[in-house]
Amino acid sequence: MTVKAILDTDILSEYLKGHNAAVAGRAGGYAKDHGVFTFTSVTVYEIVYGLELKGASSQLNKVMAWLKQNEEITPIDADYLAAATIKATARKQGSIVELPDCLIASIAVRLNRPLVTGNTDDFRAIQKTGVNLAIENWR
Amino acid sequence: MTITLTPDQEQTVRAAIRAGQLASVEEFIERALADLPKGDEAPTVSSPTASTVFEQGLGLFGSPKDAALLDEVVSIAYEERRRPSKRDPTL
Repeated sequence: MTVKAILDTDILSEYLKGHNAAVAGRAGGYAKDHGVFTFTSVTVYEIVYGLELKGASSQLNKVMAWLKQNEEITPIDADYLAAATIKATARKQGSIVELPDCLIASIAVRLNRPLVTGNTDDFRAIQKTGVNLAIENWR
Repeated sequence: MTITLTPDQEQTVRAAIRAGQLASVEEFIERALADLPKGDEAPTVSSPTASTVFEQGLGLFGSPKDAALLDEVVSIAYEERRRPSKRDPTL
């Protein structure tokens, strides 16, 4: 049985393309256990922003219809507070991490769920700030 | 009868098999046939519950055009994530 996780934008994208066998396999196993996928509103924002920018309205409609069948976690006030602490701590340690990564990490830590991402370097910088963030890469 | 799948369709079927959603290509064909309206049954529009969320999402952006678009979307997103504030405070 897999544990419930938070999917980052890049892994969700790989799954939606269906071209990466490793990601498709892990996603299939996960879906058997949990039925739906979980991601943050940061990911939804990034997908909508990019598709709006490209004027891809039909793709936007179809991905929104699919996203709505899954679990979206919206950051709460505590996530913003935790994100501020992460960003400041990383900055003092010499790393620049931006708000989207900090918010995603804060949500994953609050819910005690691993973050599934291929963007491991940036999130390792966040781990170094002392937060209990688990990272998985399905690629 | 010979059925020719596009490379994207073939990849999607293979990915579903690897993911355990289908046992074989034969099962894929059987399911497709089972979904056809029978007798005088009116054809139905597939509803969101017709397949699992996993099946609906896998390969949703599988065409070369959609996949390239999604790559661009992720690239834009990650560029934004790594773009430092205009003025970083000096510590």
